[in-house]
Amino acid sequence: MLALLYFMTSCFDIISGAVAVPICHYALKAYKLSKRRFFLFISTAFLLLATGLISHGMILFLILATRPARVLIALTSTYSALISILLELLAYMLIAIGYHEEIKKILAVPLIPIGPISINVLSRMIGVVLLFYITINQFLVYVRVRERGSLLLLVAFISILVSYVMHLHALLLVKSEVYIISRCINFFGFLILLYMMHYVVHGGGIEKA
Amino acid sequence: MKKHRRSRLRVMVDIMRAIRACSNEARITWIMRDANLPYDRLLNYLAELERRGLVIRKSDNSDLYHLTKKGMKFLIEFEKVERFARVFGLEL
Repeated sequence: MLALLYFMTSCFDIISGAVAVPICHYALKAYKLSKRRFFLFISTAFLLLATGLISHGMILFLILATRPARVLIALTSTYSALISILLELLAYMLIAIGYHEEIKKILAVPLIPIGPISINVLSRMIGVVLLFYITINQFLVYVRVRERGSLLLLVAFISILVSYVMHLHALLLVKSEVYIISRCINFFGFLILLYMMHYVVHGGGIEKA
Repeated sequence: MKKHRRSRLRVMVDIMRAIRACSNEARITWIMRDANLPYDRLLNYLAELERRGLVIRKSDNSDLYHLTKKGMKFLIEFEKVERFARVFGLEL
């Protein structure tokens, strides 16, 4: 069961990380063309996401392939998960800053209860707040432009937000099935991002300005 | 309604699109109309595009312009990036 969970997480992470790479590439191109800092934030954020996800996935895959001692498994998987979640947080923070700078919509950030909670729970909580902010901004973008690409990005962010909320729920209530569902929803979000990139690269009818 | 000033890049892309819209062979007057530019400014932009190897004049005394392979490739790539920017609600 644990091996299956590791395998699933490893595959999901590597594929999700691979999806983040073209987004980083196109954001960098957009930055080079327009010199808008927003795209630099997006590019850096997706680079961090890709790095975190791919490295975490590869480490899990290596653990599965080599089957080292239990202590080593626990240590490497814990630390790689920690590094991955920190990189994800940093990435979502950069996206949120990008939206904030570009769209100038100020949203009151709710207070995060900091008490005797683990780093994992705390980081997920911060992630939920950041993703909520990003999703609200993308919703405003979609309402303004009413385009399929924007809708796809909105759905992707909503999926990732839902997965974060479910992951938090799984951590607090220690429910493995909720964790598996949260991973699946997160992966679904990245698949939507992949579809969005397909839409961007292979055309989707630009309305003439 | 507030009108946004086009960036230099946007004007150049509009010129290239105007040329492409005329089956990749456009006269200056057609480009002026399609890209919405006065004659003198258009000549400046066309000179820059020629210098960058994105458009080429058919012959020295002709006023027919067409896109080079590099120009076509640039325009296709620009449109991809433009679609990407629109996903975030931004214009290039």
